[in-house]
Amino acid sequence: MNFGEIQAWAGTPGGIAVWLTAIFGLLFGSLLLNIDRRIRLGRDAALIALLAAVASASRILFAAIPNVQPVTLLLLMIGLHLGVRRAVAVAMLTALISNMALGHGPWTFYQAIAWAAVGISSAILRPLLINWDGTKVRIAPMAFLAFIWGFLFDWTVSLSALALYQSFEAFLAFIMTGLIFDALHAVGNVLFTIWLGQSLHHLLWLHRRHEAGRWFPNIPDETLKREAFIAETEAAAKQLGDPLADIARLDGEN
Amino acid sequence: MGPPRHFRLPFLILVVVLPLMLEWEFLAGWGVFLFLWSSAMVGFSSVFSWLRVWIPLSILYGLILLLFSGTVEWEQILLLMARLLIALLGMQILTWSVPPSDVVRAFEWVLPRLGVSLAISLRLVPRLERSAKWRLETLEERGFVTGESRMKALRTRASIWPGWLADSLDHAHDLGDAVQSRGILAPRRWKHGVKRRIVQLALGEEVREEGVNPHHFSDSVQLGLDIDIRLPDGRCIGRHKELLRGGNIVLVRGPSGCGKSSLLRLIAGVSPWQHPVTVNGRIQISGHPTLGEIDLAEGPFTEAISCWIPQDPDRHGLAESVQREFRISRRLSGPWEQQEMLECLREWDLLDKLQSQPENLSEGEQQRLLLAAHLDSAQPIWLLDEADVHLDEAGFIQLGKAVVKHRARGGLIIVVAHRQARWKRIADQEIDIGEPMKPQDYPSVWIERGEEVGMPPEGTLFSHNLKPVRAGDLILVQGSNGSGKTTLLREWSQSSGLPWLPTSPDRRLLGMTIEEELVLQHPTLFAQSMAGEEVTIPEAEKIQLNQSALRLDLGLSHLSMVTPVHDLSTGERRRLSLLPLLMREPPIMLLDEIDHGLDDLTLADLIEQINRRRKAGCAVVITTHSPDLMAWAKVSGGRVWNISQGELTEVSS
Repeated sequence: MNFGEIQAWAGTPGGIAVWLTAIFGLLFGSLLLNIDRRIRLGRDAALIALLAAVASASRILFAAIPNVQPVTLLLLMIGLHLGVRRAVAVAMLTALISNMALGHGPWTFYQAIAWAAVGISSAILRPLLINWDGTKVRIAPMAFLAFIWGFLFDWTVSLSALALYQSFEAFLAFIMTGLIFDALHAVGNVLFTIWLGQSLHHLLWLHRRHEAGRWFPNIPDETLKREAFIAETEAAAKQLGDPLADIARLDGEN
Repeated sequence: MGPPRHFRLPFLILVVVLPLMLEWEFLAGWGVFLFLWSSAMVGFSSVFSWLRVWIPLSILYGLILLLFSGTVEWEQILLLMARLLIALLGMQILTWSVPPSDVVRAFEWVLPRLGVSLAISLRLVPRLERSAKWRLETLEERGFVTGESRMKALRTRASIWPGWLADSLDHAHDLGDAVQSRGILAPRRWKHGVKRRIVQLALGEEVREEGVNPHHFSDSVQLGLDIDIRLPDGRCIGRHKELLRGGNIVLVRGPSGCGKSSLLRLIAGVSPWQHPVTVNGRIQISGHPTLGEIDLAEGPFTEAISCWIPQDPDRHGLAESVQREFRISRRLSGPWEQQEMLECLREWDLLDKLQSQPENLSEGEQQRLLLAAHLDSAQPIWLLDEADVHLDEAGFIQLGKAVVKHRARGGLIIVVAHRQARWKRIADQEIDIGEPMKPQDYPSVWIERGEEVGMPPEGTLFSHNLKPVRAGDLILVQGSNGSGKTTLLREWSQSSGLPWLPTSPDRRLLGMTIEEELVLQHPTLFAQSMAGEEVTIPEAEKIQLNQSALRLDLGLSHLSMVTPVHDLSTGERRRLSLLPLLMREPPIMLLDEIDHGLDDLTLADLIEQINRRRKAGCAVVITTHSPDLMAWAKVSGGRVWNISQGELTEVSS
């Protein structure tokens, strides 16, 4: 097989599927390696684990309703509050764990990358999605973003099925047939945002107080002064003799 | 029944490539073979539910190909559909056959830290499910949902999810702290170099990690505390200035919520910030076998710096099996050898639990497992946070032996305990946080028994020949760990519709903040909160007054309504979870290990409440391991039941 043939094959649906899967797989692997190196605290590892477990459990729980699941909203919220790194980690683990129950395949890579993109988008659009002091989430832009991701996510994952179709027309027809399911996903995302958005925001906002503690190596001056004063007073009290010792007693008192 | 471990990758290639190469007759044979194999592996119903999803999708695929790909031969299309379905079934066999623990193990080799996350996730998924079940159970027990329309019931059920997720987040923090304190994220210290490890792996030998031999610490172990803990408003909530030396058992005392557990967390090198507190000062450890001198303010550390056994074993166990709990523990001494592990399990009376999943063990057994696996003799400092609370007498003796042995080795043991009588006998030093607490006598009252109000359940799990329970009865249930005390209360509650209070308060707390929790403690209060301020439900005011009075009695009235429930101490959460039970005034109150997390003063107040309920005609059944409560029950004319091998017997009445 010469280079020209390879080039021609790479432009066919089968060829595109192979190199796209290879790229997504490599991206998936490198992201996993990167996240693994960055986890330093036990709390980080456990937080990622919990959010991935919640996302996976909710995906499995809603599996009976086609394409309706709160994972997209959860990833949007995680990106918004906990940043890109944790959102990507949760996306990777969610794809791995939920597909242990729902079935693994090349689509695992596509799902993981698409969910990671969901988290990244909300982290980038943070100023538009929450109010000025960060206490409230703006439901309308959040719902709009969730709606858009309903379609984008499905189309990204659909790319994993490209190899099965022998022409782009057939693949396009497959996408068109699935539009109703994509719409279900998008509308589901909007409903979940309206129902859960504000509470999820409050919860993750409260969670951040766990990270607000600080440790300073010096004892505050007022504590040191108070303790020095107490120590001085105690030492002075010990040095004091009997205040009545020098007083001459009258004979009758003994 | 899946493909053998080393043939999984070739099998994956085979199941994808083979269908592409085979023609009809052989493809059908291969498909039937895979179908039978998968049915034998997971059962017909699982295979059929898998087919229910994939057959329609394959048909859709075929239709699209037929209409848009230009292929007109339907036989060709059918062949493509069959190839797709059979390849997918082959991949699904692989998914079904690889146990999650193998996935975790593979991850741990390549991505150790994400492997820890994955392991925790796999443990959390069933736990999340159970936690949701407990909450729904609690709602029903409190009289919610019954008689409500379907939509209203759905709305009520939906109202508990923020509390559920908040509890799960808190659980994740607990697990994270356990990971941090045990040094699980630290890089592995292999005994041999890479080349030798590859040879060992190829020969199927065990690849060992380096460990520190437990040795005599002499008097080199010292812990210097000079810290000041402050709330965000600048108020000091703890000032500790001590020098503690190895070869001592130090007992830390103080009322519940005074910061004992937070102090231990700081020494363990994990975050104390349930509140956004500021810590000023230093904690220095000297005499650590690998790290030498440690200044904890320089943390967090990936290595384990002490051996910390936290409260609530249910929330700190990490592994999905007993064997794996041992495998990830004791990083400093090096991994357990099989024989050593079995010996240890025998000593802690857990040998028959080797194949069990930790989440299926009783609280006492889980506590034993944590102690057995994680008490690391190479760690100079042991921190035991109410480690004895779920243990029976035999378990406590085993713990006492381990502690005394560690002291003799020169180790420093810091113990936090509310029931101190047993610890006082072996403690060398006692530290009081706050004002020293005076010894409390539990208020005893002799109550004339009334009419019969119930009987414990009888059936496959329990048998007995007991006299009936009468109004005003006080019954203490004793028995060794795992004998079924909690199961008895749960069964009794289910069979007679009685409310019960489990040991872990989190199973009965529904709200995210105290305000939400108080509203969810009674259906009328919930209805009032949903109706808003414009509508007044007359009954709600009366219930609210009763609730406020009980909060005052239980020392909970000072807490702010916006405080997240999980920022409270274990003792405060325990008392909060008891409120709805006291509000309902049931004929029999079933309480599991009521003394857990409560100091003497609070326990005495609680017992006063229990006495009041008894006077009003309520019978009280309490499971316990505490000798103090046993003595109190005898003085109060109570009955003592013993439970052993499913048989309930009356010890005294």
